[in-house]
Amino acid sequence: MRRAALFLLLSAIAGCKLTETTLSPGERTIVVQSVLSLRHRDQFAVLEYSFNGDTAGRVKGGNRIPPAKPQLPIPGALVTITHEGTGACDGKVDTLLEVPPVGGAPSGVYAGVPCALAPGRRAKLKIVTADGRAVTAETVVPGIEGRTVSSGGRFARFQLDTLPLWRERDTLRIAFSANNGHGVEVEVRRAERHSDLALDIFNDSVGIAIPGTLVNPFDSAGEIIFRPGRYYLITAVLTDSNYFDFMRSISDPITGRGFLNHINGGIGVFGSVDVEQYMIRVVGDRHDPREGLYRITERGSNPNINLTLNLYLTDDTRFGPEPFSGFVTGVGQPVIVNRVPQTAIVNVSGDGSFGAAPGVAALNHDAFVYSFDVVAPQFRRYTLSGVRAAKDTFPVSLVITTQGGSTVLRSTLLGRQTSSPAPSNQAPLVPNARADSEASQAP
Amino acid sequence: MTKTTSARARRAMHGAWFAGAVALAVTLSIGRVSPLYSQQLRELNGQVLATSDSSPVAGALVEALGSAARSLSDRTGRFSIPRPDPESLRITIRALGFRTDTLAVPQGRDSLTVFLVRAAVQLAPVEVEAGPNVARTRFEELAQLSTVTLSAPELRRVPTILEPDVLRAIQLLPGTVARNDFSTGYNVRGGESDQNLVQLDGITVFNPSHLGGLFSTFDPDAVGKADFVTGGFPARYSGRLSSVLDIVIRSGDSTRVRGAGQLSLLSSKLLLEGPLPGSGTFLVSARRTYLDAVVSAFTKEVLPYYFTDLLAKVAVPTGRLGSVALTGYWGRDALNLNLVDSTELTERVDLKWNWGNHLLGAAWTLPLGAGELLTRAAASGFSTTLGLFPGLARYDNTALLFNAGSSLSLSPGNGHALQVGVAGERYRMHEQIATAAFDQVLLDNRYRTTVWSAFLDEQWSVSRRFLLRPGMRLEHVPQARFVGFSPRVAAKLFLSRDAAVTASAGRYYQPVHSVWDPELPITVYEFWISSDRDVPVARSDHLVLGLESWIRRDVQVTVEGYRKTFDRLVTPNRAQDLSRQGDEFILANGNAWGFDVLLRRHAGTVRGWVAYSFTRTRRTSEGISYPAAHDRRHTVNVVVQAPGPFRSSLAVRWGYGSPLPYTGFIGQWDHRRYNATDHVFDDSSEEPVAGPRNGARYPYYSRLDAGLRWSVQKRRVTWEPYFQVVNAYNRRNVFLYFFDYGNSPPTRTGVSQLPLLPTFGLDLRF
Repeated sequence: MRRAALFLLLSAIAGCKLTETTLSPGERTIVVQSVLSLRHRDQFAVLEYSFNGDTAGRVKGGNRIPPAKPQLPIPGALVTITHEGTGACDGKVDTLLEVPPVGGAPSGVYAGVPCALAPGRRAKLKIVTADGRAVTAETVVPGIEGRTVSSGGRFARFQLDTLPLWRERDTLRIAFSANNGHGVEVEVRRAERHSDLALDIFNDSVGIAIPGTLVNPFDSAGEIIFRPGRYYLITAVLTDSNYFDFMRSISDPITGRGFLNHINGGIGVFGSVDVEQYMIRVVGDRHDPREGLYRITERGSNPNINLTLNLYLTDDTRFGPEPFSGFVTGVGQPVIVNRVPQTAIVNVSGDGSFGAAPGVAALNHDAFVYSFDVVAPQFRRYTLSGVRAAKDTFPVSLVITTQGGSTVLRSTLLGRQTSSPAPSNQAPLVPNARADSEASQAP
Repeated sequence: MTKTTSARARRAMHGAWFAGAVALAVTLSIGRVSPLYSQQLRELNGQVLATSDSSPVAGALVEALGSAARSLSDRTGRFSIPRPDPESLRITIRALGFRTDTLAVPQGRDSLTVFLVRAAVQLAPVEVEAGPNVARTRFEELAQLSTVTLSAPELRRVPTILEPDVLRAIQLLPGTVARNDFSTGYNVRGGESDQNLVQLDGITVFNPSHLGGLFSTFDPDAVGKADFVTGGFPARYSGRLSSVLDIVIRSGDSTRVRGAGQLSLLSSKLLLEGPLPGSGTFLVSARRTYLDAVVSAFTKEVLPYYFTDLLAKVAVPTGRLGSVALTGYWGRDALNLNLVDSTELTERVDLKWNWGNHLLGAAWTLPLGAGELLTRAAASGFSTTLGLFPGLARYDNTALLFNAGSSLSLSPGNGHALQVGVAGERYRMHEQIATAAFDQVLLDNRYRTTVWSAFLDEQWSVSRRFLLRPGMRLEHVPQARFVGFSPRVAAKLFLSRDAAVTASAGRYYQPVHSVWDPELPITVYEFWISSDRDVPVARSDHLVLGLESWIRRDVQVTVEGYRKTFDRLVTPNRAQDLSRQGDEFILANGNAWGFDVLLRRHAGTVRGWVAYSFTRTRRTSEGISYPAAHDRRHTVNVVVQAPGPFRSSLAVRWGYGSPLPYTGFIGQWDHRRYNATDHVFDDSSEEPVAGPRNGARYPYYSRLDAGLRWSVQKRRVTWEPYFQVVNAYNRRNVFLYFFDYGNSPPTRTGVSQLPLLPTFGLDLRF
């Protein structure tokens, strides 16, 4: 907070930019970044050099490591993990092997399946590079012994249990009892798309509470974290002190100090975590008549496709002029797997927007496009579009594509809105009560 | 006896230079005081006070008519002259700014108090002339080193940024290092910025600045004088290790209501002063920045920042019961920035950052014959709130000080002036980071510290050539289980009427600390904590040797060398565990040595000063020794005030500072983000790899400022337009460097400090 104050002030101070000066290359520091996860068998360490102004040996790297690699990977290092403590792994030394070079360039990633980690045990990392430089670090593995995870008056009973979260009313609470835990980190991601990170927050106790109304204050549009009509995957992380310090500290851009380094002979992290995951189903107040429940079916008395949409408008205009999100449940187009037709059970959330649709020339507040992904038994992307009618059925265009974008079905379905919010600004009871009753359904 | 005393003092200072020396000196001093009371006095002792508020009149010339006996009153208004003829004595008292008075002293009376009436028109030159009197009087009568006094006109005329500023003027004095243009903070003789005691009428001010340290909180028009003590400060001061800035707010005019205003590019200000019903006076000064109002009036934009302050003093003489003075100050900086507008789905989110000082104090001065009892009680506070509202996150820091104390000044004669005092201070500090949204209190540190203290300060004119000032201070901090004995001694040996060798030594303790990182180039404000069972009391020892010489009674030359040690300094611990109290700091030690030179002309049409400082200062922390961030080897400041063109008065300031240290970068690394969901790293940010701590140096600093001021009298209003140029030769003094090691070759850019900056404004008096 003190540092934030300084940066705010500095941004307000006018000074002239100085002429750029060329420097000699600095030193290359060994950077080690490895976080052991109790819930994963495979462990890895990323070894790279710091940038020193000398581009020799630089390769095209990526951010998602693995499978990508760092820009200045360290090849040919001996990376070992020694286990200490009671149990079968005591004294065992595991070696992480260098992931084979890709395209002729070293990967800088060293991976392996070490002896099973256990809470309270110490793991010691030792790295000896090809030129003889040594780096050491150690971590004591944390473990979750008990947990209380609740939202909307419900407690999670098992991992990946789905909890309801009424955006305007509920708070997601996570508390652990821990063996050797130093802090808690919570990642909130779209259930259907993990790359969509909605929130990453940490706390130096073993509990945290996240209100449903939370917004990102540094997004000028006030991006909301929990959008009604979506499933979110909650990853709750119990951290050791090394990884917690790695998260919470930075190398100050002014003084160069501040990063809490626990690596001897280098910089970075060798930490460990224990992880649990839960789902939440976010609902909320509704005000617009276009919100509510829709039934989408094929024509005829025995339709293959029979879907129920539960829509919530948002004001996040990145998703269109009048964006919305919604849960979709029911039965999708059957999929042939190994020449056997299999039913596609749908229980996911997707995004869409009102205002435009294919074939609708002018702005129409009832025109919509909505898409969602069904992963099992095969990946299929469903895109629904049409023009909503408030009190009557209306045609809905359906396009189903594969992951590669090939169209596998075009069809016209029949849509009908079965419920909408009360006309006043008060939260409608019936639709949301229904939404709540659906909360325990997992995608 | 004189020889014996000085020899002993010298030996003690060269050896175990504290307890022994001062205990001995004090013992000798007190041992001589007692029999003096029984001697037949051959002197007339007295005190000169102003009728308006019973404030002491320093530098008043007291002459016995018909003889050559004369004396100048000291800073407490006291004087002492020989009685040539006990049968009949008439004395005249002259003081600049006051009506001359003549009194007959009754037979057998050896002490008296004289009340002088202020002159009806208090002209600026009168105030200006007060300067040399103070410095010269101090030279002649006090063993007090390392002290510079600036008068109100001097403070007003030093060219500074946008508008006159007390702390900017202080930065130009010897022994002081100002790290950059953007901060009114200063480091004195190797000390940190939180080691500077700033007092307003004896009341401690925690963070005397606005706009992140860019401007100070004091209105120069309201300041009577500012004493700046850079080392070896006397026993009555406590609580900080490195310097004392003792600012005295002047009493209001006792003859009629007067006013002063100022319109600068930064702010507008109004000061009113005058008599109160009865015989008291008042002075009120208010200031506010107005750029936010201008922006709102003429554009659709919103400037979400302003600062304001209000200063007031009421002085009421109570006749034989002396006088009572009340001083109050309230200041506020406010930043209120809307980040997110409210919608159906989102609440409004505002970034709010408010901070400010507030203080209120009372002082009662009771004359007791040739002595005086001064009793003070005050409350001073600083508070800041920074947060995302409503309820997302907030940081609160408050520092409160309640203190009360009394000091008794005695002038038993024969060259003795004794001051003893007791005081109690109660600090209440609180630092909290909380988020209602997440239902978390991340940090909640509370500090409750009491400091009980007693002091003795003796000014002893051992002979016409030798002044000795022994003193001691006893401090007790129960929460820290600390008892500190602080011996202090100063001595002055006159080589001639206009030259003297000076020396002082002392031990100093500091029970409050800032946990702001001293290596950041700007101190937005200090974040205060106070000593308890975890937080230690810091300590510093000073040794100062000097030479002071006067040329033609108006040119002062001072050379002082010093050596300081610092123990148990508190620096922030970035690895602190927020959930527990007691690990929020890392201890550091250090030392500093150097010398300061001051050449100052106090009177005449061309006046000003040249200040040069040489410093070496190092710190040791966590086993690493490194130069402190303010380890500036050479500092030169030249300030000249002279008649200018077009009937203006000209003020020029030129400053030079040799390179300051900084931590250079040797590379940068990708600080990656671990994705616990997928067990991969999926993002990164580039961060620097630091080289040796403070192992590099910026280029030297240099800046020339000049200002012209005119004075025009029209319709009983004095208009004083002024024009100033800051950084007249537009030198690009480096403020910060930025490094890029991501490309080949690596490069360095940066931002400069203030560019050439012309400013103007208008002062008026009525």
